[in-house]
This record gives sequence, structure tokens and C-alpha cells, in this order.
Amino acid sequence: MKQITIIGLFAFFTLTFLSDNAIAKERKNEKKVVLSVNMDCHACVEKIEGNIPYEKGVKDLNVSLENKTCEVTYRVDKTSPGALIKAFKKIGYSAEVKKSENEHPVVKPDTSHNGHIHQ
Amino acid sequence: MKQRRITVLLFTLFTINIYAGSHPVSGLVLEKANPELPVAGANIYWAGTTHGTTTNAEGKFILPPNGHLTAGQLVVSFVGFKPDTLFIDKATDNVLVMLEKNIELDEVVVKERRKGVYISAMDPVQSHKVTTTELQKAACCNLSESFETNASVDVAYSDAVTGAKQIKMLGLSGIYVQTLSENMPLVRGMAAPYGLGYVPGPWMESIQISKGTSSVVNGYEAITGQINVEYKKPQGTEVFHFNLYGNEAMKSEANMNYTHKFNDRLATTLFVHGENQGKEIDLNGDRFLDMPNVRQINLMNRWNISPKNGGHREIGVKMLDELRRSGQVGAFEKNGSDLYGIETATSRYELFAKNGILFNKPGTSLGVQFSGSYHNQQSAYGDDSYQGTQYSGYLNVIYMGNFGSDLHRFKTGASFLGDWVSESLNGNSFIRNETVPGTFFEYNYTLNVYLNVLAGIRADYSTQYGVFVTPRLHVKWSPAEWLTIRGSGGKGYRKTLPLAENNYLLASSREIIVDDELEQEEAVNMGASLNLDIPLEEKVLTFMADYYHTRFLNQVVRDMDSDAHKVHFMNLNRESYSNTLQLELMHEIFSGFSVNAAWRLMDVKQTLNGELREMPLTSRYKGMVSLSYATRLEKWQFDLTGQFNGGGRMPDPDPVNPLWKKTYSPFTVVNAQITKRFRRWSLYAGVENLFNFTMQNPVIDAGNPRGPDFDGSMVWGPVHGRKIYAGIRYTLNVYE
Repeated sequence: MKQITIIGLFAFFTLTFLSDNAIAKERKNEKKVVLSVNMDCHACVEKIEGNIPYEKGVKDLNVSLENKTCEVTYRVDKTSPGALIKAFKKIGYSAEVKKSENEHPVVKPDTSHNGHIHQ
Repeated sequence: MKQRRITVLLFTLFTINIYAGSHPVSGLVLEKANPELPVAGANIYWAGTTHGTTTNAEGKFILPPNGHLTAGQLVVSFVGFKPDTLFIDKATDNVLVMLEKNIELDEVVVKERRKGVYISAMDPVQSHKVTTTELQKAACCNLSESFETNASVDVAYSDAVTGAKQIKMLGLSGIYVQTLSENMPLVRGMAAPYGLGYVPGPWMESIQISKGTSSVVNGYEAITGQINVEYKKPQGTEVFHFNLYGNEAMKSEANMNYTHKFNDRLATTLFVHGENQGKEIDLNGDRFLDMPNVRQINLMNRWNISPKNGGHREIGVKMLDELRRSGQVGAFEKNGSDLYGIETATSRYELFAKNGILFNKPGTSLGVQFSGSYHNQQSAYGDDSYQGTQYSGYLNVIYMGNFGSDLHRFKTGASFLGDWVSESLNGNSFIRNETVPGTFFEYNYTLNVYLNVLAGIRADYSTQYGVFVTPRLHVKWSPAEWLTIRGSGGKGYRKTLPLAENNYLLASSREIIVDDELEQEEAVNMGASLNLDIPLEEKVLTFMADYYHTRFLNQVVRDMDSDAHKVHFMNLNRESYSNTLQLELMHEIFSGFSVNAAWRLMDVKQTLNGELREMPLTSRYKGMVSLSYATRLEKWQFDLTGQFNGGGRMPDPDPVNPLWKKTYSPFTVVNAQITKRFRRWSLYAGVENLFNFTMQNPVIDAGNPRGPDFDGSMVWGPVHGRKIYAGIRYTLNVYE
């Protein structure tokens, strides 16, 4: 009986997280910017992933070695693409804005080409 | 969409038999702009089907035919490139595809979170790789605490007094699991009772867990599984790591790893670990310590040398000094000599070396592994004394080659294993030496990711038991990208050292009887597993099912049933087996939140006193649910794990004066942890055994430890309740 109670508790936590995530999707004050970065190795990716997330105002980061781009989600009231470019310079990379997002809310990334075969 | 996938799945299942007989198509995928650059990981599939594959690191691929025909439209695609379609009309092995870069690429790329557990898709042996990410989900002080979020390995206290821990796989004792570090022996013989505590968590880079018999290259000892620990390497990315841990029971621990790279070819890492539990804790009020007071100093230094002409050389040393004290509260104080105290002092030294040489012919190499250890234990259990010394040596020489191509590879070589053990119990000495030279051959057929066969055989000669042969076979078949089926079968053997492996049984008044002519343990293990990767929206749901059967042809049986005041080690007569069925589900429900749920049924039986009976102190089932949530960028992480242990049978109590119940009930243990990460620092805090579940009266007749009924070995659940801990980690990586 006690085991069933605890399993129920786990299910409750799962559902709480699920609903919490649904709310969290509409985040305000956030923008995305795609930066072209002069990186050419996996160690560069590790270096960027180990440093950029801890810059002020950075909320999410997707690094693509193939495209030499970093997509940064940031808080507009805390940082700016200019400050992010400086942060890249600080760790030894030159970056420039490739594409910046205007007033759109955060959209879900397109996942149709993530290396799996889909029909 | 979902329905269509199921139709496709069913269609694939029915067409498998057909294409298996035709010829495959193979070729190479290169970048159009830079033809010297291969495109690794590109997708290749027959248009309109799910029959596909991906290119390897060299851009090569082998694709089974399209249905019963080796013809059709071949689609080649990869992120960042324009897809290409070719028409193939016959079986060919030289398709050359040049992919052109896509300029108008959508820049949005999905970042995969660093996974904590990898299930190898290529390995013919069913195996999981646990990485540091997973290890840091729990306090993880040492190897024995690294399996809390793993469904396949159980960790249990061997007894209520000494704090000895043992792992279990497939419902059987950890002595049937081959525990290795970097493919060399780690926990054997005298190190069995406390050996899992000799590997500190921050030293480990990863742990590989394989179920069933594994490769013959590493020896004949794996019966129910293999656990291989990889330590952090001097050539890795970590330069400096520091960890401090403390819990409410006043246990403290400090770790430091430091790597120095002299130049491109020479690097070294120094590992330092210290732990201390100074306070005597007795929360259940039975006057016995709930856990031992342990003081341990543990050091390792390893060197990595990359010679000019290629290849690889490594050498390392380990040193351990440990003092464990338990028993009655105050037994080690000035006026405590009348109380019952248990003390074990251990010193252990190890040396290991590895040498890898590459030959000019592609795919051929020679590897040499060497390790030697000295282990000394001095124990006092109340008025009993036990001393033991074990010298062990291991040498393995492996030649890797192929028959013409990478399709047919082999490993062959010779090994030497020696144990020189001398023990003494209350002044009576025993010498148990064994040397085992052996030779092995293993053939591996790899048809890309589709079919992988590993067939091995080894012959060994034991100075104690003579010649014995170990055949093993593993087959992995992936008819589709989402489906992997594995089968394995083989034999395993081991020598028993009843006293060395079980000296914690001296923490009871049971009389220990060891039969003279104990034979070598011999078992057959067979198993099958199924792995489904089901795409659900943007994430993949992994479902695994496995069934294993282990049957002992001979076993050293530990009979605690026939007499509640004796423990008798003897050869098995008649049957002893284990059947386990495990179902496991892994899914990242949304970005950052993943669930791992598992259920295992165990049917373990052994012939005791002429009667086939359920194995005592073995749960009938085990369930596990692990929830993990990390915020974007993983700055915060929350982990919650529940372990649901089924009830089981106790060794028979005394019929006249029963001091414990015949069975025990199911119980649950829940652990939780929160981690906060900064650029280099991270803080963690957690709770073990959140609902404070403990066994009632874990020590039988605790009030009278010199009386005839005293017994610390009747333990099936946690002795210590809720434990709050916190710690801090600092990591400096080479790229910073």
C-alpha cells in the first residue's frame, strides 16, 4: 500500500512539472539572436557551452558546429547582442549577428532534421 | 501519424526475412566542396521506406537491399546539406555520393542534452554506460553508491554491523559479477566485502554495466554481468577538480584531482581522497552503531605516454589505507574493552600498466594489460580475530586483427591470473593459492549497424581445478533503426574464498563450517533482450525488455537455513538457478524533464538440504522510478529516485525459539537531490531515504553479543534512516 502511495506521489510530481512547463513556454522579455562564430572544433563547442550560459541575461544556448552558429536566447532587460558579442570575444571568438528576432515570442525549435529518418 | 508509424513498423517486421537474403549496397558520402572530407552521420534510406542507415566516421555505409530487390531510389540527407537522390538498379559496393552544402539552411539546431546513460547501439553485449552526469545525480561518494539510479544493479548491505556492501545482478550475489577497472580485475577475493568503497566517485569517468556473460577477452569470471569502471584520464578535459561533502551523521569527505600535461606526449593525474566518520550514530537504540566509523585515505597517480611512433602507454599506482570500527557504542573508548567491538584495518597497494601498439596493416594492434595488487586485512570481531593477505597478478596480451576487412575482426591472446592468499582465523591458518594461465579467441562479424556477432572461446588451466573451457556467444540484430534484438549465451567460472569473501559473517555467533573439497563454481547464463526506440513527437521513447536465465552446474552454497546457529559452505547438489525479467522505459517527456521507470521480477531458487527453495534475503521484485529535471542551460537540476523492493524469504529462524520472522515485507526507499551549477562551481544538497524507512531490530539479540543467538547477518533493508547531505564541487577544464 505504501509503495502505491509513493508511486502516486511520483506521478503527481510528473504532472506538476508538465503543467509548469506549459506555463513556462510563454516567457516574456526574451529574444533570440543567431550569431556566426569562428569556431572549428568540438573543444570550441565545449568552451562556448561552458562559458556563455553564465553570462548575465543568457537564458538558452544552442551551438551548431556544422553551421558555425550559436543561437542565444536572452533577456532584453539584462543584455544585448552587442554584450553577447563582447562575451564571445572575451573567450577568444569573434561573433557577428546573423539573424536577430524581433518582437516574436520564443518559438519551438524545428526538429525535423535532427539526424533521424522521418517519414 | 502515430498509426502510420505502427503500420510502417509492422510492414518492416514482415519484410525483414525477405531482404535478409539479398545483397547490400555500400558506398561513400563526401562533401562536394571538399572531396577529401567524409560526411559522418548522414542518413541513407530507400525512398518510401524506413530501411535506412547512417554513415560511419569515414563516411562509409552499408545498406541492406530494398525489399527483395536491390533497386530503387536511394535518398541521402544530412543536416546542413542538400538532400540527394540516386537511382540504384543493382547490388553495388562503390556508390559515391557528393553532398552539396545548403546555403539557405534554417539556423535553428536542436541541442541534445548531455545524456546521463547511454545504451550502446553497436555493442553486441547488452550494456549501459553511466557517465559523470548520471553519477552526479546522487551524492555518489564511491562505487557502491553509484547504482542508485540504475535499474539493473541492486546494492545491499551484507550485514547490519560491519557496513560491508554487496551488489546484486539478476537476483544473484555480486561475487558472480565481474567487477573491473579499465578492463582489469578490481574487486576480487579479499577485496569483495568492502572493495566497492575503494573507488571514490570523483575518480570515475564512466561505468559500463553489461548484463549476462560478456567478452571472453577479459576472463572467465563474468556469470551474471560485468561492471567496468573507467577512471578519469590524464588526456581528458579536466585539469582540476575539488569536492567536499558532509552529511548530518557527521561524515565528511574531500577529493582532489589534478592533471598536469608536460607536453603533447606526457601527462599525469593525481587523485586524492579522504573520508572520515568520527561520530558514533545509534538512532535505533540497540546500542550498536547504525553504520561503521570509517577513516579512509586513498591515492592514485596515473601517467599517460603517447610514443612518437603512435600507440599508447599508461602506468599507474594506487594506495589505500582504511580503518573501520563498528559494534557496540563506546567499544573503542578507554573503558570499553568489555563491550563488543569490530575493527578492520586494511591496506592495499596496486600497480597497473597498459601498452598499445598499432601495426602498419590497418585494423591490427597489440595490447598488453598488467596489474598487480597486495591486500592486507587485520580484523577483530569481538573475541574472534581474522587476518588475511592476498597477492594478485594479472597479465593479458591481446592481438586484434581482421580477415581482409572490418566485416570480420578477431581478438586473440593469452592471459595469466594468479592469487596467493593466506588467511588465519583465531590462529588457524589456511593457504589458498591458484594460478590460471589461459588463452582465448574471439571472432566479431559486423555488418554495419544491422548485424553483429561476437563468438568467443577460451581455455584455461587452473592449478587447483585443471583445464576448463569457456564458450560465449552474443548476437545483435537491428532490423530497423528503432529496433534492436540481442541474444547471448555462455559459461562462467569462479573460485570461492569462503572466509575472505564472507568474513563479515563473524559478526554473529553462527558457527562457520567450510567443507574441505569445495569445487570450482560453474554456471551457464542465457538471455535475450529487446530495445525499442519509438519516436514520440520530437523526442524518442526507449523501451527495453530483457530476460536472463542463470543455471549453476556447481555452486558453493551458503546454507544458513538448516541450523539458525550455523553457516555451512558446501558444494551444490541438484539445482540452483535464477530467472529475471526486466522492463524499462526511458523518456524525455519535454526538454529537460526525463523519466526512467523499470520493473524486474526475480525467481531465484537453490537446493538446500535436498529441497529446492527460494533464495533467502532476495527480493521477489524490484521497481525503480527516477525523475530528473534540468532547467534550460542546466543551471538547476532536480532529481528524485524511488526504489521499490519486493518482499522475500528470511533464512529459517530457530524452530524452538524463533527470533525473526520467516519473511520480510516490501519496502520503499526514496532519494532526492538538488544541484545548482555555476561556471566552475556547483553546489548540491540532498536526502537519502527521504521517508526514513528502517528495519526494526536489524541485529538479532543485540543486547547479548557474546551469547549464542547474536546475529548481524539477518539484514534485508536499510539500517540507517533519513540522511541529509550537502556538498560543493569545483571543476576547471582544459578549454577554459
